[in-house]
Amino acid sequence: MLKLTRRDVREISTGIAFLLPNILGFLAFTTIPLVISLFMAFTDWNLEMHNMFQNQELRSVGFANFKKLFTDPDFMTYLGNTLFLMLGIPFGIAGSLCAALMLNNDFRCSKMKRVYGIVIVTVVLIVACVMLILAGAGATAMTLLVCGIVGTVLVLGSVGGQTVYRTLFYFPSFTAGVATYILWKKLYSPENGPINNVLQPILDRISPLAASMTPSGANLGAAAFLVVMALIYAYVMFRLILSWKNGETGSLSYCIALVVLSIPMACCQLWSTVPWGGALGLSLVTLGVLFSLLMFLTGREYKCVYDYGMANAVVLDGMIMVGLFICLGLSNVVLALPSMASGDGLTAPKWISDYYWAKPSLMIMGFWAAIGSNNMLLYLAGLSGVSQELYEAADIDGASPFQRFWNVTWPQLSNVTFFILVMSIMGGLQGGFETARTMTQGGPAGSTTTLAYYIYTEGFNSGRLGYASAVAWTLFIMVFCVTLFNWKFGNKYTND
Amino acid sequence: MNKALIASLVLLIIASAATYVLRPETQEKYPRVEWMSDSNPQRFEQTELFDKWLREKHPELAKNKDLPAFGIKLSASNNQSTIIQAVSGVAGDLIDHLNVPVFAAMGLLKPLGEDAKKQGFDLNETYPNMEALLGYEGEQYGYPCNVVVSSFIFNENTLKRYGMSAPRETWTTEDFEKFARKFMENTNQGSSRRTIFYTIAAESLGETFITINVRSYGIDMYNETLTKCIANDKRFYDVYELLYKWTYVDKILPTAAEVASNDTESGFGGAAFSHFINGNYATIIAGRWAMVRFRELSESERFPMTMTLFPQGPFKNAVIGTRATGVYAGSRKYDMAKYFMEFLASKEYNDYIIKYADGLPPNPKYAIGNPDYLSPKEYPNEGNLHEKELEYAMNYALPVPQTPYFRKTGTSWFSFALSKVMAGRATAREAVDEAVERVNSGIAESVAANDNLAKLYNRDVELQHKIDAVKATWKYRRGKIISGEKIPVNWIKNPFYKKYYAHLGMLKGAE
Repeated sequence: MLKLTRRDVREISTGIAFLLPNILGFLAFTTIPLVISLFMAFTDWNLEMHNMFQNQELRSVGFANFKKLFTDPDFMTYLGNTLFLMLGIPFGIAGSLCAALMLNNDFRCSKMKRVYGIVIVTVVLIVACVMLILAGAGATAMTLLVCGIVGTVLVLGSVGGQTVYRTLFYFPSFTAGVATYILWKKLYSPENGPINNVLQPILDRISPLAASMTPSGANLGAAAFLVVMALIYAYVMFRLILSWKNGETGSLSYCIALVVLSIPMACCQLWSTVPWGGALGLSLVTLGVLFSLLMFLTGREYKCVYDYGMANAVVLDGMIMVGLFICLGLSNVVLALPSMASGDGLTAPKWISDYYWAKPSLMIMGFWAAIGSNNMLLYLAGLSGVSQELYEAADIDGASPFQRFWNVTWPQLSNVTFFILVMSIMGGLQGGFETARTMTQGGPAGSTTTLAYYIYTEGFNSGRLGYASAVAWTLFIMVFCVTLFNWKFGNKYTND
Repeated sequence: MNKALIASLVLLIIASAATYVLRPETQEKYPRVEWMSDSNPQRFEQTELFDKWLREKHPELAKNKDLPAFGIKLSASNNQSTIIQAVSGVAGDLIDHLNVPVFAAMGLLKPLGEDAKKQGFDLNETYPNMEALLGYEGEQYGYPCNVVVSSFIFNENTLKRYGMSAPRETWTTEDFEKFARKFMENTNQGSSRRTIFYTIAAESLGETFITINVRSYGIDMYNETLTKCIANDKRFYDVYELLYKWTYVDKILPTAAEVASNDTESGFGGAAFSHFINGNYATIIAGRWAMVRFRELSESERFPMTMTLFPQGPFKNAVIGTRATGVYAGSRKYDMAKYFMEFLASKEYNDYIIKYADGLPPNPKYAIGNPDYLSPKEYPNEGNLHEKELEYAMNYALPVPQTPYFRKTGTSWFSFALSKVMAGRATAREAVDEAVERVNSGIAESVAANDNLAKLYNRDVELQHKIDAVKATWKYRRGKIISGEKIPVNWIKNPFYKKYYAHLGMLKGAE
């Protein structure tokens, strides 16, 4: 048995004494509130009845608050909003990967090119500003200004190289959230925001073309998008089956990928406005499931563990799922285009003022923030860890740049990607509070209320602390499940 | 190591003690009562006025003739932070709030009891129909700081610019629509984007507009005893549909997107006030308090104004509101705080409100017949609005509908219903029915969770049955009651129905 001398005891006590303020702080501001909130979730704690001056008996309600969650239409709606906003995560990840890949290169260029660049950009910027101030040529001047700013960034990059771009890309991460939300609110201003100032002239040009589209043309366009969707689904399923047969994807990973890919196809049944869209989606899903069953029954030559290739299954197929949804949406838009364009013509979105555009608006903003976020830094760190020997081997084999990426970079970054995905899902589940509070107040008509904002309004506006705690703990369970998923599948198969 | 630890500890203790000793509270030479109010710049002047008033009216309180007996410390706070601080036991001694009954029901305010009568700040000293805004279960918990009867204020210059003159003081929704259409036809001509609007958006007209409209046709959000929400009625559906039609069909109200596009630096009173001043809005909803902002304009910038009631049906009504002050239940300075309540009812404070136009004065007797109130010499451009708002307060005003059985601290379901209708997410009927269901299930939940409330609720439900039985005796001809028993006034809790049934002559025991 370990014997402690007096000196040991004294040193341990001193150490604990130093740590005590932090431990006490953690207990007072984290552990105890956490325990109290767990207790609250099983009571009818309501600020109207239970506060410093109104000590009515606190009743235990068992799981009633949790049961209520699942019958409460608001909870389901706001969970739906939260999940919808999370659809932007794959794009954010792809964006940060692209940014990291780009920022891994050096962009310095020759002196003469820099001088030309500076002259051109300066002229464009001056012309844009003069037009804005004097001529009032709003849309054109705004377009020039945007081009000028982009040019400035390029010129700066040609002078400062990686450092400039890395700083610029990381900008959203160290800018105060509220300030950027207010900036985006201005950008989204429906009639005089810079986004719509650029977009509306383009839509004005397209409107006559769209309005002149015949119904058969619209049908054909819509059908084309559905066909593209079906082809993507078929191709990805084919690749998936192949990779399962080759032992590059485990059975569990395969099943998850199948479910993820089949969601948009199944949604055709509900959302496609093309008459045969639903039938197409359903038949493709059926075929996919049948092929998979057949494949499982016939077995494979090269075996691997059941969760092998999980990162690909979740991240890549997640991105493809969103892509399929976009095809479905575009198909519906093309079909409705002639009627939308007739009359006043196509109008730019009303962004956060519009029920249907509010969530995509927040997703676009989230995408912008995600590109240059900590995810980009993680990818940059991951890229620096990829062995040059692998690239050299690929070069000797005559690999194209895409093949280098697909066969070397992407597999080597799979653990980083998986970690980013898991953290993004956790962040996504808990997110949306600041944007709702600052930009939309959860509206229009609750379209941007997420679970985090709902907890806040239930707890501090309605005073129903018991119910708000139940929502918070349900959210915790969701996040915990994602964490378990990470424990189980994260940090595996790197460098395989 | 031990020495380092002890040194850090001693340093921390010394720093804590120094912070405690140097905090503003301990530096004060006389006690201060904390007043949680809004961020209106006039509050500072009001605290100074209180100091002066206290010295003059209650010199006996001062222990030292060089120092006041006590003072007021202002702390700006919004409604939500006030409520959170109050339930946590750390609110100021005096709390301003727009909804005193909510605070009273939560046990956060002290009943003012006999002191109100003794010191002259009881409910008889303010406007009629204010009990529901200042009391709870027969007890008084607050006294108004300033009062508002929201009405339409027109910028006559803007109307004139587009070849129009001020509308009639009382008007129907049809008159309102006709007038607005004409205004919108005359403006924004040849412009691809609308920048001039008749008035604010439907979402901002919101519940006040809806309440006044439906009440004018004889129905309120709650029944006579406030035990049930009864808004699932055609009159409610119609007004929701009307607001949608005015926005998206007739285009006489700005859409949410247009409001967002025309967002501007706001200042006191919000962006709508800036647009009103600049002639972008012909009319806004406000009261006399808006003059706090408009009087900041130079003489050449000022514009003539006129006031009208909300457009409505046969039973003329308006909505009265107040920012009222109550004494926090956790205050240890009640003896001092009650003098502030007395100050609010005093001539000095009322004169201040009259002079600086921070709403209607709490006690109407100082305004009635007072030329300084009715037509301030320095501001002839303010036209009839002082006189009109006082008239509306005395004759037509009723508080916003609210029930003690379902507190509106959270989402307002009727505003949410309006946002659903405006977003095209539901028809008026669906949205209103959903709101009614939410409110009624909220009532059921509150009553089930609270035994004290349940007793009161059951008592009122009994009364409601009696009222329904009496109403069953009423006979109608062409929509008008021609005979039937009268309802005893003390059965009715809803201030609207008290006034409405008295107007119909169906109330027993009313003065």
